[in-house]
Amino acid sequence: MINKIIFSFFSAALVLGLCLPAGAQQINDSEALKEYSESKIESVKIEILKTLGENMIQRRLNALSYARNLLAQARLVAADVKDEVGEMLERDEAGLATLKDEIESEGSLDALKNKVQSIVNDFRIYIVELPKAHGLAVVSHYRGMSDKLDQLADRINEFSREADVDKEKIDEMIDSAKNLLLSAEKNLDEAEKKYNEMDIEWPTRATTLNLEGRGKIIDAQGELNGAFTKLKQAAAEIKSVLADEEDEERE
Amino acid sequence: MNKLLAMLCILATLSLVGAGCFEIIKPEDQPVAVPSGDVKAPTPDEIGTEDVFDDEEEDGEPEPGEELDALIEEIEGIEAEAGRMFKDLENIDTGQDKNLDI
Repeated sequence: MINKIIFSFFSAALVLGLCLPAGAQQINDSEALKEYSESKIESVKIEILKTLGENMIQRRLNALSYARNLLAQARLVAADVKDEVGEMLERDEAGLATLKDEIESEGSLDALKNKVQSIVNDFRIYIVELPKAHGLAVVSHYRGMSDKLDQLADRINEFSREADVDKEKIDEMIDSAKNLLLSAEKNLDEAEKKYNEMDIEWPTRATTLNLEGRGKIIDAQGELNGAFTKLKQAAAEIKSVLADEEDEERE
Repeated sequence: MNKLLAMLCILATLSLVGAGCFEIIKPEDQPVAVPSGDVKAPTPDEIGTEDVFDDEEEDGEPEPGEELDALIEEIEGIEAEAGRMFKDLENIDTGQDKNLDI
């Protein structure tokens, strides 16, 4: 009987030990804020705000670090964009780390309130900084894709002169692809302009600019995809003619 | 009684593991496979002078078709990467920057 009780106790402790940390993570900001507003004791309020602030900052630091790693790994993002955006993200990380230290050592409730509010108001990581960083990186990456498509079009053009292909048809495909590339470049220019206009001081405007920028990127995506399809068709035509020529030579 | 049984089980397990360790043969002690007398290395005459890799490119320059394929494959990779980057942009949770009412 005693063994059974001991066994049951340890099993329950094990289950609780596994479940409690997972449950603790689910206590979100709104629950902490509710707890804060319901509490009447200043020292409790201070502790809640400190924990809330630290969690909010840590989430932002993780997101910034993720964005910085993605940017560093992105092969086609231009070096100047990488530098500019990378510096912006690093600046935010440094500012938030300083604020985290200040929150940890703050003893006054009023000062603490201001500091926790400044995590959102002075940084705007989710509304301005991250969309701006990701947006500029995506635009630059699509520019790289556009350059590669241009290169493919030029090579197809060169090969079409050497092979016995329907040049008019190939030229038409290349022209059509080049026109789509030009439209895509225009859309990418506009998207870049919108992301560059995003500013911490105007968070509402930043939301609109982000949506518009994304719309322009989607348009450019469609055009680049259309150009790629045309060029793949042209490449297939040339390859087919070249294969026929090779077969004839062998015979 | 239970303690005794548990002790015996542990002892038996340790003995089995120990016995297993002794059975491991070092690579240098393993028997070497030698070819039988029927198997002989081919002579230069048997190999002949025909270059079986004759079709391969000598100067390393790819065929036009191969070059186009390589470029297309590269662009497909770029397009896929761009798609992932754009998804990351779309997935940013802007709701986390709501003003705090404290």
